[in-house]
Amino acid sequence: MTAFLTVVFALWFGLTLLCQFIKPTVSGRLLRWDYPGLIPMYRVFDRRVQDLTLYYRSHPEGEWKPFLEQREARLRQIIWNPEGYRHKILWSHLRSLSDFHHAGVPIAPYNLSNQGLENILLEETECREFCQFAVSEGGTIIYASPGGFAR
Amino acid sequence: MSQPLYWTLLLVGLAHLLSSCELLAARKLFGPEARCCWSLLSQKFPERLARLLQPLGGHPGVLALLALRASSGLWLICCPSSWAALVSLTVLTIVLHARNRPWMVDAGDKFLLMVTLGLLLAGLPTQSVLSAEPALESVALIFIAAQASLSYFTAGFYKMRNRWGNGRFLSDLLDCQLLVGRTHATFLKRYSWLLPLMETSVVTIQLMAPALVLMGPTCAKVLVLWSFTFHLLGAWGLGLRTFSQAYWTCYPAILWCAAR
Repeated sequence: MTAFLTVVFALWFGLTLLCQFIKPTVSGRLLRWDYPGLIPMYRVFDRRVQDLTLYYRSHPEGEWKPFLEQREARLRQIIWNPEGYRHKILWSHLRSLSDFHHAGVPIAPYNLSNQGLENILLEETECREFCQFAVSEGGTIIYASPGGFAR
Repeated sequence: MSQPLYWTLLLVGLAHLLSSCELLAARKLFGPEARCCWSLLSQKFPERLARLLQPLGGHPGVLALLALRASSGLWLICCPSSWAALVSLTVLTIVLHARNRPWMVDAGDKFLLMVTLGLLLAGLPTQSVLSAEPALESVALIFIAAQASLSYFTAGFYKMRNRWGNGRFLSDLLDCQLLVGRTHATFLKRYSWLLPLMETSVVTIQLMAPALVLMGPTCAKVLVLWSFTFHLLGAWGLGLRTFSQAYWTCYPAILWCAAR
């Protein structure tokens, strides 16, 4: 039994070690020692996206309004459409738009919390698109771990 | 009785107790309209499974699970030799993680689950971790210390790759009011020259963590002291309390390994 458990421990550690660097997209829960959002966060950082709040602050409303409208329409569809509910929602590590609002991000004229959009989440693909958009616009994004926030 | 394992068990019990109490105190987060409500989080499960899990995942159910986990943590503190307490903690933690993903499960939670599961395995043959065979006891302690070192090294590696060290990351963080309280931000901004220093020290020590464990007791003590301060500051300034609770559990293993 001891020998068997020793092998189990060794395999577990070996796999963890392998998963840190070999295949960074693997999200095995006990096999990666990063924050829940480390991968998207650092990918975002690689693209020189630093601070979403700064992004919003440094851009006049009109420039990102159409983008946000488009996002919102899609998000509404994903979340509220009963058919959309049946689709697999890819859970994003990025926070809901309303959280950005609460963080002091001026996303007016959309007062998201007043529109009952508290629970809108960004899909993983959308998160990526959003970041790419922000970068292409010369913006910056800060990403924060939802786990830490939620506490 | 192994002292390092005894202390690890106590710290694991304490970490589960504190983390559960903290979530119970923030129970509004699980309410019907809140961010972690079941109607939203259940979407990640197939429809039938979600309906089946409703009693556990719903608002009163999740609070009951948290209360049970807190009680199991207390049970482990009072009776560290109890393998049943470890089984209970492991099962409840896995269920809660499955329920709360992705919002409320961070690397601290994962680390704590890993240590708990490791202790559970070590106690499997004798049904008590404290009377585990010496060989298995050593393997378990080495495993915990190695995982802790690896987790620090990985975090340091990614930080280094992303050019931590000029103070910009912490400076950006201080601008995010949701993360950092106004008092902390004001305090740290007054000493902004400290930020690059803090970033560099974090990256350096995280990268050196495995080496520090291997270099003997004195270096391991430096690592433990730094880690304690680092997580304490993270808990105080950024609200990352689960990290501190979880990483304290690996200190006995680190010190034990370093002494050998």
